[in-house]
Amino acid sequence: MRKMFKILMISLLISSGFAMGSSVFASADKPRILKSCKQCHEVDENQLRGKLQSISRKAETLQVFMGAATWQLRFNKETELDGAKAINKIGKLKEILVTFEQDGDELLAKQIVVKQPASIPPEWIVKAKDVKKIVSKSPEKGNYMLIDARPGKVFLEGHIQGAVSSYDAQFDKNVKILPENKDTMLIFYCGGAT
Amino acid sequence: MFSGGLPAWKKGGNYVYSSPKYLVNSRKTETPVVVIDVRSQAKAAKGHIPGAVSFTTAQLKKAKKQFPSVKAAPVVIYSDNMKAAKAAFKTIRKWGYKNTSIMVGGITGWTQAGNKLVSGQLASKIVYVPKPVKGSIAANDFKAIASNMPADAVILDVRDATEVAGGMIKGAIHIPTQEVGARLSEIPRGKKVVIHCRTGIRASMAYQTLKEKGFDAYFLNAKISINPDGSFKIDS
Repeated sequence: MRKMFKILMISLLISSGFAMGSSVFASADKPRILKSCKQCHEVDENQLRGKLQSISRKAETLQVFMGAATWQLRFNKETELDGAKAINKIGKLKEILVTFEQDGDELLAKQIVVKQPASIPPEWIVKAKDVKKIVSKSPEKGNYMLIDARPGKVFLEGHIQGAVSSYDAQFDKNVKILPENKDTMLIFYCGGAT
Repeated sequence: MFSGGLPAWKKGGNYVYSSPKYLVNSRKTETPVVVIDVRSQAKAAKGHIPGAVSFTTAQLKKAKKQFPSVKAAPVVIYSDNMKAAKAAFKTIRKWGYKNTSIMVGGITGWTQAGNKLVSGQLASKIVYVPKPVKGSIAANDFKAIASNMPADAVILDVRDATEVAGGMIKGAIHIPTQEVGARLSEIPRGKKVVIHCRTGIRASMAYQTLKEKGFDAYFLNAKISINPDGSFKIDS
């Protein structure tokens, strides 16, 4: 069960709890993949995977957020779009995979694939109102553990009462925080499956 | 699995808690946070978190106008009384401040984490200045340059031809965003290049292009409308 959760959390987190820390890359060697995407993805030399930072249809230009770096690419009518109805409907800070080619001094986006939320069995899902009921009791009394799977930094900024911080990327290292009693209900949350 | 996560939790107006360490970190990174002390003024004056603003529950309800215009502004509430902190949370959250939180452990949480208190009168007015975006220029500095056109600076208008036809700042250079990379020779080096578009988005793109090419570039990260006579208005 724990393993299943782990897999699920990874797929759910891809589009959410990104670490915003600075990168070790020098500016001459800009990273092409956002740190938190590396858990599950690799990119080819002509690809970028990061968050959509901004887009201008007038200038046919988009910017991809890559932690410490930002990439800027042109797009045109031939740019293939997968996973969104229109280029201006992708949504800010969505995870995208861009395949590009060098066009003179610029980069031209050939294809943009928008990351889709993972599908989760409905019986695994709890709603805000369920969580509200659960956290009205203490974890000991209610025999539950609420786990915040986002990076520790955002946990500090704001979390649900009684939650324990365990960033998904360090899940294996943090397994020991899980309760000994295997009957304890484990509830995971992150920055949303958007 | 609570797949809606914290956004769904916040949307429901539920209580959100922040750690004392968050405030410590935000001070280190100079990220502005509004800190509200909801204890009595007498108690607060004896010892409070540096930079906190004092409001009793009753005062807070009338203080909406004092709160930042930016609804994303982080607000941290602390008290020695959970009920008071929760009431303040509800009030502020209802005004739309989605990044409002209650400090875990309140005032004792703060001191137990090894942080100091200060004594004396607290501020009664909120001062919130958002951290400027890298490369952005303050609206007032932009106005000064646009109206005086000093010798060491130029204004670069990166809107498209149709937009520019409706009016342009006098003395500005016009190059649409998508042409900036190919027309670098038209932009003076060794001068401050102050870029604007209509909303700040394309200006930020042109800014990045110029920065990568080694220009001393800045951009106006705000909405600006320009009249046919070249006069303009910045929306902040």
